[in-house]
Amino acid sequence: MDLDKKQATRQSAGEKLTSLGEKNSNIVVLDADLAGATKSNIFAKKFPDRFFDMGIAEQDMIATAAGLATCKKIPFACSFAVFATGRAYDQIRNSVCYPKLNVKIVGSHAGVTVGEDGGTHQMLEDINLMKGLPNMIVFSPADDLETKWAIGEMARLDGPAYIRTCRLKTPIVYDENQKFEFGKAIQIGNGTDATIFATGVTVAESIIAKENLEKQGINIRVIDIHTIKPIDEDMIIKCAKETKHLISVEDHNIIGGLGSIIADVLSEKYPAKLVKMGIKDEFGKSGKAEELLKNYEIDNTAIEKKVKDLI
Amino acid sequence: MAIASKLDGRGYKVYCIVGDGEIEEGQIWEAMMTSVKYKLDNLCLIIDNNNLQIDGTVSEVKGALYPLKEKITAFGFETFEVDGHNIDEIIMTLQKVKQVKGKPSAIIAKTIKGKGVSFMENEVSWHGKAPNQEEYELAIKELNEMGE
Repeated sequence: MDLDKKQATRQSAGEKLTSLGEKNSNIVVLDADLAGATKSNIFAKKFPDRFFDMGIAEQDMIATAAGLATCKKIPFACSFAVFATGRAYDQIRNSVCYPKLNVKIVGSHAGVTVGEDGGTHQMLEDINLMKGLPNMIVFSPADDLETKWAIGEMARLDGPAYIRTCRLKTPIVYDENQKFEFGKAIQIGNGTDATIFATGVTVAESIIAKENLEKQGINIRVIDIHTIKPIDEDMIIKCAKETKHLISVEDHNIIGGLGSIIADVLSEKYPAKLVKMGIKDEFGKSGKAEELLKNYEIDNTAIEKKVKDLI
Repeated sequence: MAIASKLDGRGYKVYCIVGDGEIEEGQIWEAMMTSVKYKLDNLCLIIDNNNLQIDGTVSEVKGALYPLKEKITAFGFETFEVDGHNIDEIIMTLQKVKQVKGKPSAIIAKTIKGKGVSFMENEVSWHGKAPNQEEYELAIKELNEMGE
């Protein structure tokens, strides 16, 4: 991991959409008056005829994307995660997932790391909303390369898909040799003292915690869950068997997020205790992203402390 | 679909039939603005205006939907009104719609819910109910008589 090189996953998504657009003329992009922030404007500049700014009208954006999908287009509908999944939930449910249309939803600015915009804009329930929909695939990538891979997978796979990206610039976790596989989590390290299941911005935080713990003789592993649905059950069970403690950490409500999904798997397949770190069923608030990660105890310091408390 | 038709230069038209209660939803008006923005003259919205919805008449439940023609015209549509039970008038209006360029069209079709079946006409209770065998036979008999 390169701590000094950072990029926001929203930027990676915008760049990848544009390179996909060069190869495939069926790729079209929609936005709802946030193209500059979601970075769909990179695509818009290059392919103005295949970009549709729907104005502040997310319901119509998703419905229009559904219509385009019926005509063999591959629409990517972009907005902040809070609006893309919240305002248009009914259209995603009834017009996209129910008919299993090939619509891709890009929810940027997920989690408290939105920062200053505060609780109204910090989406902490999107994983919960999207994972509960039949036919929906859910990605939550951790860095630049992983986001670009996930956007490519969304275009490749037929059917509804959601990706959660972030505003905050986060460390580059992977180099170009890293292999990504749909539905297969990535194991970082072989420690057996504890497993940290992480997703999105908490992956880098977990890796920092892992490195700090190693210096103190505590060996853990980090599992990057880039595909939230379908979840990698085998990896969860393997870690439950091999490590002493299980922790999940996410920039999302602990109700209905990554931790809940892992707990679902454990309770049915391999009962084990899971400690869930995340936003404890409350809304976000305005502040600097780094301060908020600390405040909500999902930064590397909090993760390190949690591991030590458990051991 | 209408946007895709334009993108691919396929030239087909899209006819979208909606109910008058249904267009109380904000999504419909979002879509109207999009249709005007993208000059979708290959799109024709047909509104089944029977003035009935589940909780009562549209006038009672959400009368502010009216005046409907003026609202849709103000949104930028070419708007027509027809007797929704007069096939000749509908065909004639659809011909006029084909001549409209640079903007979408809307046809407000004035209808009577359950028309032709005496015990169903204008009865909101029939909104989502299937007739029993006896009611079914009576309804078919009345419709056949009307057709003769």
